[in-house]
Order: sequence, then C-alpha cells, then structure tokens
Amino acid sequence: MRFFDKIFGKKNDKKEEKNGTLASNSLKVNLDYIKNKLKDCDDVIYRDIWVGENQQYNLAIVFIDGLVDKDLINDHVLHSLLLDSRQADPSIEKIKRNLYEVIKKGTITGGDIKEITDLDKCILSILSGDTALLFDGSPEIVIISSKGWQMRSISPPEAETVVRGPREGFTETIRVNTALVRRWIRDPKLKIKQMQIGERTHTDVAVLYIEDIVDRNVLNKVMERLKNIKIDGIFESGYIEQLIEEDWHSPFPQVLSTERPDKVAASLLEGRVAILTDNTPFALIIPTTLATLFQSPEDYYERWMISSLLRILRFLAAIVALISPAVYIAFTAYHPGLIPTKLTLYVAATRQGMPFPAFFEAFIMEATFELLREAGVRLPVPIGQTIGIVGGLIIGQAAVQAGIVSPLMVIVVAVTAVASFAIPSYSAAIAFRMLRFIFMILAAVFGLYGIMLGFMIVLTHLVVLKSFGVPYLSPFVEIDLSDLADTLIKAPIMYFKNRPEILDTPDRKKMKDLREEKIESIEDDRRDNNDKKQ
Amino acid sequence: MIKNNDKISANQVSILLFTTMVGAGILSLPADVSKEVGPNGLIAILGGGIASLFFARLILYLSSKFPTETFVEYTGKLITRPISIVISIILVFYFTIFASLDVRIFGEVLKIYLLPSTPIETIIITMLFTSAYLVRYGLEPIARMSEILFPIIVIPLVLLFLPTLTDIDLSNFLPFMRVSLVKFFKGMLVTTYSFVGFEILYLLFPYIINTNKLKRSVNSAIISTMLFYMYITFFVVGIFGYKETREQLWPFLTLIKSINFPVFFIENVEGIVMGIWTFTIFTSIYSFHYFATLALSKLLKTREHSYFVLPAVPIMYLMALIPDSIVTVYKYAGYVSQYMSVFFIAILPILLFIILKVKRLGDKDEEKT
Repeated sequence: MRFFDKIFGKKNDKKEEKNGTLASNSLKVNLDYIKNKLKDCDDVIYRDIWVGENQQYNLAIVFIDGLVDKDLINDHVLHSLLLDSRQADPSIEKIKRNLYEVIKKGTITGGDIKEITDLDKCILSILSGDTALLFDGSPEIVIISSKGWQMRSISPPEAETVVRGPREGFTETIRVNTALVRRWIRDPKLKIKQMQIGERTHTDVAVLYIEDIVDRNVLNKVMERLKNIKIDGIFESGYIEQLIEEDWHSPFPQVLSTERPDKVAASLLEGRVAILTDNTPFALIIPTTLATLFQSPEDYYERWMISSLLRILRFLAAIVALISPAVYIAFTAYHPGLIPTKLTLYVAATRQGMPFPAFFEAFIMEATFELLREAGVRLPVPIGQTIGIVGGLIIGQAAVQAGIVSPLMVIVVAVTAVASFAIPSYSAAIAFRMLRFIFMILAAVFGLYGIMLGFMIVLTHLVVLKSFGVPYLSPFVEIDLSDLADTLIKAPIMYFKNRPEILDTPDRKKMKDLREEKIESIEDDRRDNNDKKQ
Repeated sequence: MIKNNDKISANQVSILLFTTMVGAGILSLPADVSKEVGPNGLIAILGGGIASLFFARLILYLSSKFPTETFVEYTGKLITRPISIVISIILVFYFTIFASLDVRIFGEVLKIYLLPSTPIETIIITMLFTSAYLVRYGLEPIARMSEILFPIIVIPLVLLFLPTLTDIDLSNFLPFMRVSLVKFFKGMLVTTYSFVGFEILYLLFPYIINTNKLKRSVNSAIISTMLFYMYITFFVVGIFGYKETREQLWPFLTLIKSINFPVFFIENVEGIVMGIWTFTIFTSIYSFHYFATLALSKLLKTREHSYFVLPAVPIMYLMALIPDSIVTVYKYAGYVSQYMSVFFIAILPILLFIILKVKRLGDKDEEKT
C-alpha cells in the first residue's frame, strides 16, 4: 500500500506543481490564499486601496519590505492609482466594464509589468521582489517589476586585477551582471536564457551564449545538466559548477569561474557558454581546458611579445609550484650527484646537524605555509598582516636559526608560494597546491623517478579528462597549430583569424586577414602610382 | 565514467607509432650495429628503416582490405580459424614480451643511474601499474598521451646532443661500406629490435578516423623514427668510434654522461635524460600493454579490453623477472627480435599477402565499404 501511496503521492505532487492554483474572481479569496501561504512572514506588506469615484473598487497590493524600490511603488503605483486616476476621466461605463484593463494600461506608470493568473507564481514573484496588484472581480493579477534592494555597486574584481583593462567586476545581482555582458556585446544573437534552480531558493540562473557561434553540443549538454539539477538551494555558482562538472574526482577545475565581464564576453565570442548565477559575482565559463586556466584577459590587451613571455612564465610557475619541494627532496635525499658539486657541498653544509630528513623538513615547511595562508584568509585585514609577519619572518627565521629547517628549504617554500600565485585561475592554483604534496611523497619514496611517476599519473588523468566533451588538454592533443598560438605563447593578434578549433562553432571567422588587406592596399598604391606615371 | 569514442586520427597514429617504436632499443642500438657492421651503422639503420617502411606498408595494405576487422578476425578468413587463433595467441604473448623486456631494461637502467638501493621489483611494478592506469581508459587517451609526450621526448634529446657536435670525428664512419653483404644484412637484422612496434598496425586499423591519410602518416612515423636513430647513432659513433661503441652496453647513456653544461645549473644532464627516458619507455610499455590486451579481448570476443589490463600486470611482472641478469635480458631480446619479430614483421605479412592474392579475399569487403 505504501508503495502505491508513494507512486500516487508523487503524481499528485507533480500535478499541483504544474497547474498551480488559479486565482479566483474574489479579491478576498485571493488575498486569503496569499496571506495563508505567507503566514508568519512579517516582512510582507499588504495594502488595500479603493479607487474610483465612489471608492467602490477594491484593489490590493502586496510586496515585501526591503526587496522593493519604495519610491517606485509610491510614485508609480500608489500615486497613480490613488491620485492621478481621479484626475483622469474615463467614462464610468468603461470603468465598470473593465476596470482591470483601464488600470493596467492607463494608470500604472511603472515600466515593466506582466500579468499572471497563477497564485503560486504570484507568490514567487512577490518573494523575488516584485509587487503584486490584485483586483476585485478579476482573476488576473498584475505583477509590477519593482526589484530594488540594497546592493553593492560595481567595483573592481578582487581576485582578478589587471594593470591594463576594464576595472569593473560582476556584482551580486544577476540583472546587473547580464547588463554588464550586454554592454560588451551589442548583438541580437547574444542570448540570455534564464531559469530558476533550487526548489526552495528559486535562484535565478542565466545561460549566455551567442546563437550562431556557440558550440551546440556544449550548449545542449549544459542545458540538459542544468535541467537535471534537483536541489533545495543554490548558493554561489560553485554549487552549479560542482553539480554539472564531468568528473568530481578530479583536482582540476573543469569549469572556469571569473568575476570579469570582459572575460565572459571574450569567451562567448570564442563559442563558449557562460552561466551567471544570482547572488554571486562569479560567472562560470564552459568548456574549460588546461590552457584557458593560464590565460588572463590582460594577455589580449597588451602587445603579443610581453603576453607571450608572461604565458611562458606562468607555465613555468605552475611547474615550479608543482614540483620544486619534490625536486629538493629528490636531490638532497637521493641524487646529490646530479647537481653541481659546489651546490651539493653547500646543501650538505646547511643540512649539517639537521634533525629531520629532507621530506619531513619540506613537509613541515609546506604545511606551515598552507596554515599561514589559511589563517591569513580568515583574519581581518589588519591582523592578517600581523600573521604574515609572525609567520613569514619570525617562524621562518627562528626555524632556520634553531636548525630545524635549512635556509635553502625556506627559499624553496617561498618560491613555491610566489609561483602558485602567478597562476591566474585560483581554482587551478589550488589543484597544483594539492598535487604538490603528492609529488613530495612520491619524491620521498622514489626520488626523481617518483616525480616522473607523478607526472605520468597526473598526465594520464588529464588526457582522460574532458570538459563538456572537449579534451582537457586540447589543443596540446589532437594538435591544431592555429589553436596552439594561444597557449604557451600568445601570437600576434593577426593570427587569431578563426575561433578555437576545439569548439565546433558554426561561424568560424573571427577576423579578416589583416596581412592580405595590407598586401591589397600596397598593390593598390602601386597601381595608383603606375597610373600617375602613365 | 568518461566515455571515449576510441577513434584516433591519422596524425595521432603517426605519433603513436613513433613513440611505440622508440623505446629501450635507443640505448643499445649504436652498440648493436657497430658490432655487426663496424663504421657503417648509419647505413644499416637506413636499410633497416627502409625495410621496416616496406613491411609496415604491407601490413597496412593487408589491414586496409578488412577495414572493420583486426588481425585476430581477418586472419581467420585467410589462414583458417585454428591457425589464426594460434598465431593470435603468439601475438598477444609477443606484445607482452616486449612490454616486459622494456620494463626490465628500464628497471636495470634506473637502478644503475638513479636509484641504486631501490629493489628493481619496485621500479617494475610501479611502472606497470602506472601503465595499467592509462591503458584501462582505451586507445584515445593513449594516443593523446603520446601526443603530449612526443615533443617532451624528441626536442630535448635532439638539442642535448648539439653541444657535442664539435667532438665528432667523421673518420669514425670510414671505411665506407667495406663489409660483406651477409654482415650488412645481419646489421639490418639487429636494428629490428629498435624498429619493433609498428606491428600494432595489425590491430589499429579499425580505430582510425581518416584512413585515407594513413599511408602518409605511416611513412612519416617510420622515416622520422629512422632519422631519430640515425641522429643518435651519428653522435655516438662519431664521438666514440665504432670500436669503443661496440664494447659498451648502453653507449647512448655513456655519451649523455659526458655532456655537461657548466653554464647552466645542472652540471650533468643525466637526471634530465633519465626523466625523458622514463617517458620514452613509458610510451612503449603502455602501447604494448594496450595492444596485448586488445588482441586478447578480440580473441576471446569480450566487449572491453579493460578486463585484461590488470591481470596482465602480474604476468608482465613475472616475465620481466625471468632473466637473471642484464646480459640474459639482451640475449632474450635478441632471440625474440630475430625470430618472433622477423616472423611478425616480415614473413607473416608476405605469407598473408600471397594468400590474399591467391584467394582473392578482402576485395569484396572493400567494395562494400
């Protein structure tokens, strides 16, 4: 019996969800329904009003205090309804026949309104900051868009600052964020598909793409996975990221998160899909490959040579962040013969009387550093600096003087730390930080061979990994030369004539060939000259 | 689990062939050819390469007659089912043997140059498990792995030798071609061990997307392998002379040991080369490992090759430990490459080709597709 109950119970639930509750003709019934649903919610404001010559028509507005723009309601709803409507003089006949139409079309001066008949949807709109206007004698409800809460103004993105480039970052409001992207791309083909995810939070989630550029396979996968999310609440785009990513075993981020509208716009033009989530400044970019984690928007604003050098520097930084403590362990513990003799002697001298083996020494220092970093993040800014001084200077210095760690080790740890901050993507940097410890363990067990083993295992993981159908290591695999121009180096902008080969974009051309144009113009000049001579 | 569609492009085939062929052989090749043909090692390698190219194209031709079938299936049509099964089993063992030989030589080298106190068993078993981890995911990740490792293997090795260019004495390559033809053929024969690997074409054909470009990619793979070997042999023999080269077990590594860049941080490049060489061997091991399990799964008609990946590890491990010393390893390697390899590389394709022509089989399949 319970089994049947379960089945039928579920079915009933679904029906209710689909149809909702239709509003009735009576204002009182509708209001009672809403009041009943929003019982004990003291931030909801109900306002009954009478309009008409003899104050004979009953209306009510419902909104939530704090979520709405009070000025808008006062000036464009209440003022219009209560005062302006008296000055106008529509015939009584007309009013009698259709008060609803008159008010909707002729009275309310708010910009964005829509009408619904579903009471549950009405409640959802009220909860998202809209104002509901209910009529006596009409089952239709007018929803006036009046969202206007206290929000953070647009400010520079904190995690992704650039020297050259726009300073604006996303904010916590999805509407502002979509507008920021729109301002970059004024193309009717830029589509913003909005949906609500989270059975309780009803968080607004917008999927952005450019219709004739986007890789359809990726888009379909994103849409399908978003639709399959059944969760009570979405907080931060990190929830979505974790729910739609391919392989949750992986330490590497398969979705790129960014606070920068220019980065989102550029990715959209490459044929990627972006997801914006309400209440967070972090947008998601899909698909993501290893190479994109090393790209910074600034690379494209600066000239190519400096950008290329910076790219190479970042890749080197990633390798340094990944293996330098492991290399230290391997060389001091296993292969002192492989480094220059003078250095070997120096290392041996500094390690004289050291109580711990190299691995333990490296592990202590790395762990201490991670600890300091974590503590520094938690603390308020002024105290955070104190922690930096205490940790970096005092502990480092004291540890060396006490003979617990060698000075070389302190340098290695410091270089590693600096290197790990050179990776533009924070989540990628975390991946390298985590893997560093595995490399250290492998180096402690097998020396240099352990590091090679580590590389082989990480590479195996990476060649298998895909982000929404795109191989994670592309374009290094399934090699395409034009794509490689934007990986280890950033070629001059003339070389980016086409969109990335790894994405299946219908509109491939990105730019007309500048060089061809130049040649053409030179030829034109020559022809002109010849004509003149003749 | 991530689904890979397990089809690779002709370019990837080219790189996969290169990385499979370049393996343990690179260490001993200069010594082997110097033993047989003295100063004419380069020409022996050239001959071996051209012969390999011919037979690789022959195998490719045979496979292309049955575009949807692997060796295990199409030989059933050509040389009756029972014989085909026997040869297929030998083929599985053949690949397994090469994986074992590679991993054993790798262990020996590593023990001498990097980890003198680590037991060789540990090195072998970790390498095999790492290979198993990759092989489990199938052909597509394997091809991608080869693509990633290819530049890491080739570019540093090519650059590393350049500083020794001034030490080369060209008279080490004289007298030119003053060896008997029999000796010369023997010299070509010993290069087989270094060229072994293109037999994977027997099994590879159904998994390739653009088969029309395949001839070019096989050509480029084998020619570049040959040039790579010639490059290394040129330096080794050019610096040491053939008399000194043939006395050494791994002249390649001896030469590496003699290179140093005092300007750079690293005094001797041994560590770097050991790292690169780990990748070189890794590419050969996983390739043989994969094709052994693939052939076995075709033989037993199972849907996935991955069932056999882990069981193959202890078998390869035990086989790798059979020879009691490095000398025996090379003796066995010599036997295997001179009898089994010659059978699979040369005799078998010729036989199959003749039977194909006599029976006029396969053409029908081609028309269908």
